[in-house]
Parts: sequence; C-alpha cells; structure tokens
Amino acid sequence: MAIKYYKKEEDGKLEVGLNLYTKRFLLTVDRELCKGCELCKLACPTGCISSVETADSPDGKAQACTIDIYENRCDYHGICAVVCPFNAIKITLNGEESLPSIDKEAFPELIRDFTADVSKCEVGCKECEEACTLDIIKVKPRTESSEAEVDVEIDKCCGCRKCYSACPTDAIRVTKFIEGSTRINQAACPENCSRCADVCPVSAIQMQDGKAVPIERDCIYCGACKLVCPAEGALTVERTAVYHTPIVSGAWYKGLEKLTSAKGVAREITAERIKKTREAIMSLNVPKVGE
Amino acid sequence: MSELKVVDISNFPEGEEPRIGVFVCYCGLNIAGTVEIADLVEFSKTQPNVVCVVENRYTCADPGQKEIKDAIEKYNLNRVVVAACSPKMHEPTFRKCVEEAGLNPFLFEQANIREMCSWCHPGNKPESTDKAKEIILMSLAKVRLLKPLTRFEFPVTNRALVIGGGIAGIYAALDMADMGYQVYLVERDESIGGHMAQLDKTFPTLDCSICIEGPKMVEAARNPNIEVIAFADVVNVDGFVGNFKVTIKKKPRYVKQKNCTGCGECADVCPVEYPNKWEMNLGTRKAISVPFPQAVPLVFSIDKEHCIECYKCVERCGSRRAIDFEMEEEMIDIEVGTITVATGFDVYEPYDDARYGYGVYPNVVTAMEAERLINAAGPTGGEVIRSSDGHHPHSVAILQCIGSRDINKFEYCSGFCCMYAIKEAILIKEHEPDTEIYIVYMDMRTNFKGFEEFYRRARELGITFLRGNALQILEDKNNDLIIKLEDTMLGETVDLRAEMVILSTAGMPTAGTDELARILHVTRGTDGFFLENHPKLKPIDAPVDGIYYAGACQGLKDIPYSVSQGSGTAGRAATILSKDKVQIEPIVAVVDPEKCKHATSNCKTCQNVCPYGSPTGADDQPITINPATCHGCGTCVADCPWDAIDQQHFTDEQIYAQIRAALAENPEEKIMGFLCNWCCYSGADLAGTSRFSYPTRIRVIRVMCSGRVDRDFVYEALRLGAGAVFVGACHLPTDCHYISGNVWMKKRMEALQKSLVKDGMTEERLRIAYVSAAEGLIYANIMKDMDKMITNLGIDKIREENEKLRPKFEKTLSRKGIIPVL
Repeated sequence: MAIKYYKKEEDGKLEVGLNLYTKRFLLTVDRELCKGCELCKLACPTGCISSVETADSPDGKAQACTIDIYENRCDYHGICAVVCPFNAIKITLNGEESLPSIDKEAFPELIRDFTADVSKCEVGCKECEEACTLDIIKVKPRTESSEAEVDVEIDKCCGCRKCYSACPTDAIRVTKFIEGSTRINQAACPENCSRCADVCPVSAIQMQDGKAVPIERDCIYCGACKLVCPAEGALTVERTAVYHTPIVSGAWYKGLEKLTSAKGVAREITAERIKKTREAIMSLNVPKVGE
Repeated sequence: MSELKVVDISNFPEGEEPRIGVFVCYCGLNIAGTVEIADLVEFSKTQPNVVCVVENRYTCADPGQKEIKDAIEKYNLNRVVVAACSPKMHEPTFRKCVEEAGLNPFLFEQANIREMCSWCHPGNKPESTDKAKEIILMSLAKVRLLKPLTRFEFPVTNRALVIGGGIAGIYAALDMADMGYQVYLVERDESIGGHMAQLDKTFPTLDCSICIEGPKMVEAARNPNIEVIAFADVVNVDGFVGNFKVTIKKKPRYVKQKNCTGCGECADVCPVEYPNKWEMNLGTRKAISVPFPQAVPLVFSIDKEHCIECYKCVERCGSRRAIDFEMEEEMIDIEVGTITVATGFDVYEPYDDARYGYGVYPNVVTAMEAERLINAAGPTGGEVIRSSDGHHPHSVAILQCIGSRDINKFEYCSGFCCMYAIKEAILIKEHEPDTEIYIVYMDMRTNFKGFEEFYRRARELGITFLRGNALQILEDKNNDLIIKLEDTMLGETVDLRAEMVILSTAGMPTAGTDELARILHVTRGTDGFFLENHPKLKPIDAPVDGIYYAGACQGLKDIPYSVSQGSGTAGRAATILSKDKVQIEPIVAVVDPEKCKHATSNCKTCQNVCPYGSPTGADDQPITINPATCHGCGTCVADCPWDAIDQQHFTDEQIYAQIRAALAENPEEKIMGFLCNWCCYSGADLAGTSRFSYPTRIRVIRVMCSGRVDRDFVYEALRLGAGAVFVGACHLPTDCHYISGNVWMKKRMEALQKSLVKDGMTEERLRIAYVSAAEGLIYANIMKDMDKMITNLGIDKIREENEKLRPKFEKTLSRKGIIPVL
C-alpha cells in the first residue's frame, strides 16, 4: 500500500500525519503558540521544516514567519517538539503522546528552570503574572493569612525572565536555556524599519529614535527576528550553548551544531571531558591539597 | 579466454560443383494441406545443381532424418536444403543430422515454407505454392554459396549466477550447488525469500509459507557452494555462454555482515521508525532493522534516509563493532558460465483505477495486504481488522481479476488469484467463522492438482461465490462498502454490502525488468515479462545461450511451478557447466585487409557502430575483428564505407543471390523483406503459428540483426523492380539483441528513405517497422497494410518510379562491383 500522508490546516492548528494500517502518527503545530522562530527548523535532522513568510498586518507591522512541514519527509521522532521553546509542537502515536527521541535517549530535554521563593512574595503582588509575555504564570497573591501560590506552565516557559525583572523582591529565579548574543548593526538597518521588534515574541527588541535596539537581558535567542530582517548583515543571532539533560548522542551533537556552531559543540564536548576527568579523579579518593 | 581456432575451409576445394539435395516436408497436413508438395518436388528437380529431391511426411522425425543421411551418402551431396518449418524450430536438428552424415553443418539451409507460407496463407491457393517455390529458390541460391565453417571453442567457467532470491532462484541455486557447481545468488532486497516469505499459508494444502521456505533460505545461505550476495544489483554483463563477466553493485548496509550476529539489540534502542515496504507499508520498521525476523542473511541494515545518526545502535553493539557508518557501495566482478534469471513479479496496486477506491477508502485492501493481516507475524498479529475502526469485519467481499484479464490494464490472466482468493477466504472463515465472505469472480480457474478440491472445500465452508464484474465501490458513513456489481448469472446490477473489500490484484513484471533485459540483451513479450526462446520446447531458455528463466519473471506462476522451473534451469545450466568447452557459432564478421582503409583514412566507422568493441587495429594497420567478442550482428558489415567487412554465413554475395532469386519473376508484386532473427522473424513465425492470415507478397530474408541490412540491398531490390522493401527490427530503444543494431539501421534506413523519396519514390515503398517476437498480429497487419499500399499504387506506377530511380542504383551498384558495369 502506498503510504498515506496527511496534512490539514484547521482551527489554528497544522496537522501532519502518517496513517499506516495500525499506526497513526500525528504531528500538531499549535499556530497560536508557535512564534515563528527558527529552532525547530534548525534542529530537524530530516530537513522537513521550512519557514514561511507571512504578509504584514493591515497596520503595516511585520508578522512572524510560520512553519510549514513536508508531510512525506517527517519521521515523527519529535526533535522539533523537544527544542520548541514555546511547546507549540505535539506528536502523538495512535492518540497518545510520543517522543521516541527522548524515550530512546537519542535527544536530551531542555532544562527549563523556574523557581519562585514564595516566602519573599509581598501581599497582593501579581507583578510576575502581569509581566509574563506568554501568560503562563498564574499567581494566587499572598494574603495576610496565607502564602502566595505561583503556578507556572513550565513546559511553555521560554526563559525570557520578564517575570524575574518585574519581581520587586527577587523571589524568582529563571535560567535561560540558550546562551548567546543578538546584535543589531543600526547602520545597516533600513530607515524606520521595526520588523524585528514587531515580531519578537518576548519584546526583547525596542525601538529607540527609530532604531532597533536588542535587550540582551530578555532575549531568548530564538531567531524569529532574524527571519524577518530585510537587510543582510543588520541583525545577527548567535547561540553559544544550550542547557540540557545529560546525553550521549550523535543526533544531539548534529542538532547542537546547527543550533549553535561547531564551536558550540566543541565547547560542550570539552566541558563534558573536563567533567568526566574530574569525576574520575574524585573517584580515586586522592587527598586534597592540604589534607 | 582461449586461443581461437582458425576457421577451417580447406576441406572444401574451391570450384567444386555444388550437389544439392532438397527435402520437402509435408509436416502432416500442416504444409501439405495448403501447398502442392508434388509441384514443389517437380519444381526443385528442374533447378541447377539439384541432384536429388525427396519428400517426407515428417522430415524432422527419425525416418526423415535417416532419408537425409542416406541421400547424402547415395548422391554424394555437398549441400542440403530442407523445405519445412522455421529454422528457429529445427535448424539445430537438421544441422546435427547433416553433421552426422559427414557434411559440414553450415552447408545446410532451411526453407521456411510452414510459418512463412502454409500457415499464414491458408486455403489451397496456387499463390501459396508459388510462394513456397520461390522460398525454396531463395534457399537454393543461398545454399550454393555457403562455405563450410567451424564452430569456435571456448573453455567454460563452471560457476553459475542466479539473479533473484525468491523461491525459484533459491531452488535453482540449491540444485546447482548440489551438483557441485559454485553459485552466486544475487538478491536486490536485503533478504532472500521473495514474495513467498510474505505469504501466510500456501494453497491448496494450507502449509505455513515461511515454515517451508525458511529452512530452504537458510540451506541456501549455509551451502558452501552458494554465495548469497544480498542487497545488490547486477549492473553489467559482458561475454557469452560459458564465459560471462558480470559486475554486481552491492549497496551499503552500514552494518558489517561478518560482525553482525543478528541479535537485534540495535533495533531496540533505535528511536526512528518508518513504513516497512516488506509489510506492504502496513507496519513500521526501525531505521536499523531487518525487514522480517526470518531474513537471510540475518544482517541488519541502516536506512540513511531515516537515520538521525544518534549512534545509540553503535553504543549498544559495543565490542561486536558491526556498525560502520563509513561503508560504501561495493563493485564485485565475477565470472560465470551461465545465468539464471529469477526476478519474479510485482503486485499491482490499483491506484490508477478510481472504480475501486483503493487508497481512498480505508477498508479496501489488496490481497497481498490481506495476506499480511492474516499472518500472525504481521502488523495486526494475525487479526483481520478494518483500518477505519480496528474491528473485525462481519462481511468481506473478495473481488477477482483486478487488473488481470482487462484489456485496459493487463490482458493476461494472472493465474494464481483465484486460488489465493479461495485460500484467504478459508483462512478468514476459519479465524472468524461468523464472517460472511463473498468472492466475486469472472471465471474460477482451478486447474492443477488439488485446486478443484480446495474450491469445493471453500463452497462447503459456506463461502458465497458470485459470478459477475464489480463496476464500482462506494463507501457509506460507517466506512462500510457498497459494491455495485453486474451479476452475470442474473443479468442485472446488484448492490453488495461488505464491511471490508479485498482486491485480488494482478501480478506484473517487476520494476527493473526492462533494465535487466537491456543488460542481458534478452527480449520481453508484449506483457512485459521475459520472452522464452520457444514457448513449447525451450520454455525456460532465454534467446541468449547460457541464460535461463525461472519463475514468475517469464510469466506469472504459482509456487510449485516456480520451484519446478528453478530446478529445471539448474538442469539446463548443468548442460553447459558440466562441459569443459562450449562451441560458438562462427557467424562473425571478417575484415578484408586489402579493402580496409583504416590505415590510410583513419576510418573508424566499424569501431563506432560496434557495441562490443570487437574491431581493433593500430593506426597504421587494417582493422581486425576479435571473433570471441563479435556477436555476429553484422552492423559493421553494412556500415563499412569500403565494403571491406563481410559476415560469415550471411555474406553479401549470399544475400544478393537471395534477393535476385526472390525477384526473378513479377518483382513489382512482391515485398522484399529483411527480418532480424530475434524479434521480427520470430514475430513473423508467430503470425504463422497463430494462423494470422495475410497476403503472399512478402519474400523474407533472415538476417541476424536489422543492423546487417545494407543500403545496397535496398538498392538492388529496387533495381530489380521490387514493389516494396520491408525492414523488420526489434523495438527501440532497448530490445535489440545486439544492443544497438536497430538504432544504426534506423539511422541508415531513414536517411535512405528520405533520399529515395526526394528522387521520386513513394515513401511507403520502403517500410521500417519494429515488431517484437510476441507481435504476430502486428506483423500480419503490417503485411496487409503493405499489400493494400501496393495494390493502390498499381504496378504501372511502381514500374515508372523504378525506371526513374534505376540509373542511380545502377551507377552505385556497378561502381561497387555488385553488378557488372553496363
């Protein structure tokens, strides 16, 4: 039987499927959650994801790219779902969520780290909830009688740290899972162009005097801005490291190379080696200097 | 390759007077019923050099052959003509016969008055007898000029190649290995086993298919005389019987065969799965896997298309070190004496026929898919369930002849569908006894041992057989199917409702059959399957010596038949492999060094047209042709601008003599035909065998390849006043038995046609046609067409055109010394 591929765009969702006689693979992209960044496209080993430019909105603002998936190339191992900062991609097998690349330890999970020390919260404070760009923090503020409850959908946390910046009492700790830098060469920017600022999912680019300025503190290095930038060399996004659960996998190094650079991979391998050496030395029970 | 024996012509002194014996065969009533034998005998007696004429009831039978031998002795004959059937049928028989009587076998000529005359011109008409006379006349003209030839001898490589590792190929390999010959078994897929490994049970005994084939697969792999080269393609074949040189491309598995233990731990850790083609894409396999657990050789392979290179398999394989991502494809060169082709068939998937909704309705499957569903090792664990909801269907309709016996798709009957439909019906019924099963058939064809009993058993089990044709399948909202069918018993259209439909689809030539036909220089029939040398007497021999067909690649057949053919080819191959030496026909091209202008004019025409690289020569030397690699097509002979090359046994002199004999009387009414031995001549024979009747105008000269047809032959025929000239060749582009002879003929003849038309000839009077050995009807139609053309044109018009062209022909031919200077 020829393989039945399936593709549907409906209710703000892109569905791509492979229907075999007893196995139904389904990949769903939630268009609302997808912010049009480039991470899944870079990480996908089969190259089945592409970015599609979107027309400007009626008020002249740029809109983020969307992704498209070649249904006949997808193997449903879920690497795209793992790297999506916004958790916009879901993969199911016969209706049940499935991430074989994680299950078989072929790919690591990203470390999304959010902690809130609720003892530091002030009465009635909901600053973090209001600051969250993705509306994933729900706060039951502290009252005189009870402690605050801070609830976050950690799967969707992209690590922009808006909440951290907004917290008046330093109660929140968030670590970015991607390190890097975003630079804008204003001299190369076209006149009055604000496309990158328009599409930034975490408002990490601001317009100052008609020029775009990146805010490193908030940037998650997702590259959505880069995809809409009309001027070559005006905007560079460089990723240097990705924080993830421990892994030994060729697929991960390949993905990492595309997400960062060969240097990024070298750095990670060096770090691993140092860690291993240290562990080995420690396990030898060598007396420390001075003991 | 051995030294070539020099052609020995010394035993026939120049100038010795030919003493010809003519033997006219009745062939029962096959010839005598149409042609006046007595007339032929009287006519033959009046011909020069004929010293005896004998009529036989059956010349090919022992008494007939004895009469030939006796006459040779009694009359001291040095030439023999047998007027009987096609030389393709009995030339070897008679050559052997005259050889036994001490005559050189190449001093024999056969006049084909059965296939080319009595059978295709039925009714006892004087024209048929006249034509038969002229056919004998042409043979006499040739036989006078024949030279004794000695066959070349070459040593035999006593190893064999089997292409295709299905059940037919496995049996061919096993039998040859058991006879002590070394066999290479090449398989395109990762595992041998073929379609039989996919089946659940076999009809009519319901043996478990893999249980009986599996041990044979293992036996083949373990036999020290068999080397299984799986996941490989044959990319090139050179040489000839006893001495084939074969190049095989082995695709990389990325797993080392000698290190892989087949444990399967790598597949456990692999994160990627993709549709398994071997499971008809019903289930999946891992990116590192075997297509099925019983695979032989049990070596895993990585599909690089799907592998994400996580190296989890490498980690798990550990110290076994079987996985090698750097593996590259490997070219293997082998030398073998014989080749058995057992490439099997493909299953038709009726996507192109919207009537059945295959690929659209989830509950319509093909029989091969149903086979995987019934199989306990299949994707559903042996449960026949619907794709739409996973439930057992309460009613199943099996529709027969999907693609088969359909003039719009495959004209042939696939042969095995009736039986596998009954088998699947019984298996489903046994599994779920309350399932209603309907088989919608045109005719149930249950010949062969045990088949009819099996059919009865199905009827007794309560399976309903409906005689009719499915017109269309519709689907309702529950994904149930409504089959609109014409019940040919009732004579009306009825609706049949079923929860699942199984389509008994046809088998078809496997992908790559055309490619392999090109590599092996063998022909295919109109149905696309390989064409055997003779449908009755050489059913497993290819037209090329030393190549044999086993199983469904030659035409669809079931398992026992395929196994028989596999063993049969082993026997046929052993007739070559068991000998130390093999003899090759000496009908090669020979260069006259006096005439060759290679040294002076740097002419390379023969080298350009020869597909085998046989003509060679240093820059300051005339060309020589290596008879070991010359296949004897004669294309270089026709294209040589200096007429320096001639073909033994098909010399220019002999062919001109045939043309002149054929056109001695009433040339305007005749068609001078040059037919290539392998396709068009066989096609013309088939027209006779099939009794397709056509007008008697054609006079056929058999050449080995249409590439041999010199433009001067056409000139001479038209100079003599021929009504038309016909050149019949193999189909372009790849059917030519000599790779490219027909291509050069096309180039040459089309240019000639253009120039003749420019000089005032009616275009249709030179006809070039491509007729395969299976296209007897097409040949007959061409003959009718040309007859009509000549009739419409009228003899006067033909004469007028010929007169206009004559000076041109005379000038060219006399310059070349073919006709005396006027």
